[in-house]
Amino acid sequence: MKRNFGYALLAALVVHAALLCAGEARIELKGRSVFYRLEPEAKIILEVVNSGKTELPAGTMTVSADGLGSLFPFHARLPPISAGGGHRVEVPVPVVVQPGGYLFSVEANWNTGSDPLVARYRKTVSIVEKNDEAMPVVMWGTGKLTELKRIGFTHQLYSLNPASGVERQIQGLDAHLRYGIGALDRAGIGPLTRQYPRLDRNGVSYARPNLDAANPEAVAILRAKAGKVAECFGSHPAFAGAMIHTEVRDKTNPSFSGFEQEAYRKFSGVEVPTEVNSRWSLGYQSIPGLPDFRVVPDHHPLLTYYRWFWKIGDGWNPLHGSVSRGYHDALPAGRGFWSFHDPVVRVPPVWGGGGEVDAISHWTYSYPDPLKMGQVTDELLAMGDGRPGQMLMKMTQAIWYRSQVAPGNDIADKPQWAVDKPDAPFISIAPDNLREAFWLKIARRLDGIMYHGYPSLVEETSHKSYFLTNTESREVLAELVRDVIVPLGALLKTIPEPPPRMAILESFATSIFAPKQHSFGWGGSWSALLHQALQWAHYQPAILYEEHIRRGDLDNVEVLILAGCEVLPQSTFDTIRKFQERGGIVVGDEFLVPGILPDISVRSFSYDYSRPDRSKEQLQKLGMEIRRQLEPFFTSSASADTQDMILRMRSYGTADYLFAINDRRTFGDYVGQWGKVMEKGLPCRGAVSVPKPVQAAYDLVKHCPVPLSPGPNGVMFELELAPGDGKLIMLAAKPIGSLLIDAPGTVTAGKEFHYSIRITDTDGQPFAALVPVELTLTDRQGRKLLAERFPVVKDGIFEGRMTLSVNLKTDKVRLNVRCLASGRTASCDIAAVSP
Amino acid sequence: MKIYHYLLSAATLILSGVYAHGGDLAEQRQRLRELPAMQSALDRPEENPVLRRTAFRQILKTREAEPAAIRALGDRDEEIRKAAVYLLRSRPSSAAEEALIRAGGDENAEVRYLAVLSLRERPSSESRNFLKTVAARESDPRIRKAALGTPILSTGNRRLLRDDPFWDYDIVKVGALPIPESTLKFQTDPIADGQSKGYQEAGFNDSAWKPIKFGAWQGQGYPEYRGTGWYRVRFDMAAKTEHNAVELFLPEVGGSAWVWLNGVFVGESKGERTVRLDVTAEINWNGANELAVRVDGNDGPGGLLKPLTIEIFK
Repeated sequence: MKRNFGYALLAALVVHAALLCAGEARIELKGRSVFYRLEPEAKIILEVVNSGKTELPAGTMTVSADGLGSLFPFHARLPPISAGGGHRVEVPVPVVVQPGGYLFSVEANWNTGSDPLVARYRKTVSIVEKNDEAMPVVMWGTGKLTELKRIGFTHQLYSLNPASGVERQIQGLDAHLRYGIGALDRAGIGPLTRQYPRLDRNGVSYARPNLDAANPEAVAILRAKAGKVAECFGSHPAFAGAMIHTEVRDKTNPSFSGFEQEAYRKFSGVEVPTEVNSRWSLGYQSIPGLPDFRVVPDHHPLLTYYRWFWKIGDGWNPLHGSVSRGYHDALPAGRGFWSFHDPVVRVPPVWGGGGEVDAISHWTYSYPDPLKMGQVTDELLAMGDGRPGQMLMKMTQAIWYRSQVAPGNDIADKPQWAVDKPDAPFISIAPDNLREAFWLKIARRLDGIMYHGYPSLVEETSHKSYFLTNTESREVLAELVRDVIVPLGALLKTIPEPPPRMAILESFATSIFAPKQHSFGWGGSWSALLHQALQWAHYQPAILYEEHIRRGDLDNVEVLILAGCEVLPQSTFDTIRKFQERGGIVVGDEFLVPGILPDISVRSFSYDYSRPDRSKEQLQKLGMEIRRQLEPFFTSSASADTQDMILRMRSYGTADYLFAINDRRTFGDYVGQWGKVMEKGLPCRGAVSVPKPVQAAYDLVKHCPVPLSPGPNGVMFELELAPGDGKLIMLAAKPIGSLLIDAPGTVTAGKEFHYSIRITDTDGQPFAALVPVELTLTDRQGRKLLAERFPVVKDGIFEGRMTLSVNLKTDKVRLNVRCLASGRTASCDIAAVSP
Repeated sequence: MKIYHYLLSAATLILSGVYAHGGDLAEQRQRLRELPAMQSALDRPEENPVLRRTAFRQILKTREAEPAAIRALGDRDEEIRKAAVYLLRSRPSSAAEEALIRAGGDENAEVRYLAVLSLRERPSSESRNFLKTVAARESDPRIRKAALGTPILSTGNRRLLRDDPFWDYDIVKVGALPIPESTLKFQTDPIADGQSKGYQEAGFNDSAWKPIKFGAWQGQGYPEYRGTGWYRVRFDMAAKTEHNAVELFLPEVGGSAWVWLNGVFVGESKGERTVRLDVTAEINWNGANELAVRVDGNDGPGGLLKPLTIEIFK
């Protein structure tokens, strides 16, 4: 007994000694665990930590991954690691694999005597697909990734801070990447306004404080802050962009701290005019010496000053650009990343809004009439014309002001949401309204769309003011993203806007000397209402600035609308008179400066917000009256036999792309009881006429031909639209003839190969248009191997590249293409060879 | 089905408003390059308005511009009449001047306004006399003012202490002085040229003005008066006391008001009934002060409807 006890004790001592001699170690993941398929130089970083009390000798590490077998064995030698120290190992991640999660098993071994030390670690590494062609759908806010993914969002706001919790934020970015959602940092001003305030002429901060954006110290601080974020998180591809300074110019005013004054002196050679005391000039009636007939010299001191102020002088536009460069300069070259600024047209009509940011955006509330969305989007396009290549994005407010659409609770037939949430300050947008606003904005060439109001659109959060009062709206958005944006987004981004034939002038001089005439991006001015009236008359008015006119953009315009142009600069006045001399038609109102005799006169209109039905009716009547007078001299690109069908046309090659949107509405039972918004859509059926020799028409959402009939000087076709819904019809000079896809017969997995898609017309010629197609890669059983793609076949050909995964479980794959115009399909088989 | 489509085509043709002669009008417009064609189009009142206006624009580029513009002042299209005035404005002839004077009596206010603006630039006695008549008799105040050529300028009101976001202290009223009614005087200003006469100046001789009390002027001898009226009043301020702001309080104004203190413009209302103006810089402590208020009456009771007060704040 005593001997056995002794042996046991000895064994325990030996074990204990072994343990003491062997030490302790652990393995941790540092950084990312989610990667794009085909991402270059993808690697995970493992840190081996010696948590024991003695130095670890040299050791080895092995990494394997489930599902990758012999494709991924990784071995590394480990150097000696001092007690408490660590050693990092970079492990390349195989990315030419099928998307999915791969369980990585890591084992580190040390020969520490009779009892070797082993440390193990397991982590799922995810490989996700990247889609550069997709049109961004941005949540201007932050929400649950699962819900955002379900609806189809591709980006959301996600503030990043290098000063704390970097690992946690990297994991957050990993989560974003796993769900295919890009994270957009929020570049704000923070406490800098207090530190660098704008000062009035008395040296006092304005009653509504605003940052002195021309102060070089403030600029340097904000640019450096952006750079730090980019340095810290720039290696993570989920960090997709940044929102730069939102809603900052509402409170801007001339700053007399010295910087702006010095800058103006350098720019103009003179001092800031003494009449300048605020962002606005005095009205023209109060300015001594302003010409009686309201045509002012181009270089009037106040005009010169305010043009400078709103373009660059208040410092904001240069600051936005500086912060954007702060991000970009700290990122690897060629890295996809885009900055944006909004609301960009809440300023006088002058180019330069947003400065050198990559994208400009603006938001609109879609009540009382969703057509506002179209008008404001056209203002966004006008601003974008000043910086060709800058991306354009349009946001719909998914929140509605309760006070404006459903004020008070003292109403008969109160809907249930008003019973449950009687004090909700902000409620959900109506579903039909969201649908119609969606179509109206994508009818314009945009690079992305946005929505604000996650708690009112998707699910309520701890937000105190935004309430979810209509769950149908989010499902409508999900459906639109799935059925329109996903398959047609690449096409929508590509079809160009046509050169304008009809245009509305937004005069900078008027916005300065008679500011009540300008819309400032709110869609409520008389000029904005006239724009809507023209939409109802099946016209497609673009918006031009004085800068467009100086650039010569009036040369192709046939009809110029001058609404509320109370003051004009001399050069614009002269150009308009010349425009008339060459046969251009001017539509003018009672505010027009003397000296321009309009061909057609209109009288201004005030919207009665208590009777949106009557206001719509009156605006439609106004539109038709203008059309009646204009018809003998100007033909619209398309027309319909109902004013409730809004038409808009874009063109490429020999094809036209007609958007038809249903604006037939009534008062529903969501907010209609209050009589402020006709929010319920109604079905609409109409005959559309296009005065062109069209031989074929295709519904790009339903992917089928549309029957045509002869029409006046062209063709006609019937369209039936669901409530708030729209259609995109491609009108082709010749029908689609054939669809072909071509790829090598044998491809080595892991090696890139080329394929091509060709579309011809019925004469066998390359189809001179933009045609969206759906491309899928399937196995023998027809199962998708990769997510579908939706490239655009341009002028009859698309050439693409693809790489088969090295861990494919099949030796035969099929490339399938479906034409989203005609519905035709084609495919080709490829034999896959192991590497 | 085919018949249905053809019927639909016809309906759309009609509903889209493509009239049979539409193409003709566009061609006719293109052909308005010769004077006879222009005059012919203009001479037909029933002609398409776009054609007539195009014709008139074209005529104004020819040697017949001035006689055509003079004739056009009788056109039924007010836009053509306005364009005619605009052309004649740049013509120095007496015929043009006479025509502009006639246009000053046009039924359309905008035509009259443009005619007045054009005549302001002419030094002849005919134009001067006509403008005086307009100033006296024109019903449209904008045109009256244009005839006078002396618009009132305003530069905005000074911010009150209570509205200063950087004033972190409580504000307490430490004194109030009612403006005396006993020295309040009133003068109507039917052609709104009081400012040019110096009604607002310190030291202006208002001995001929009538005494009045606070309250609507309609009830104090001016029952039908709807135009501009001036008030002047003298008051004494006591010795200076500790203060941070002095305000003039007008509790109820019937109309729009412009205010001068000791000859200096201190602020205005744009129709607000209650007005409060900062007069810290303009008040004369320990001495006499002269207050002048110009009120543009509206449709209701006009003038200073309630007593005014000078208030002192700390």
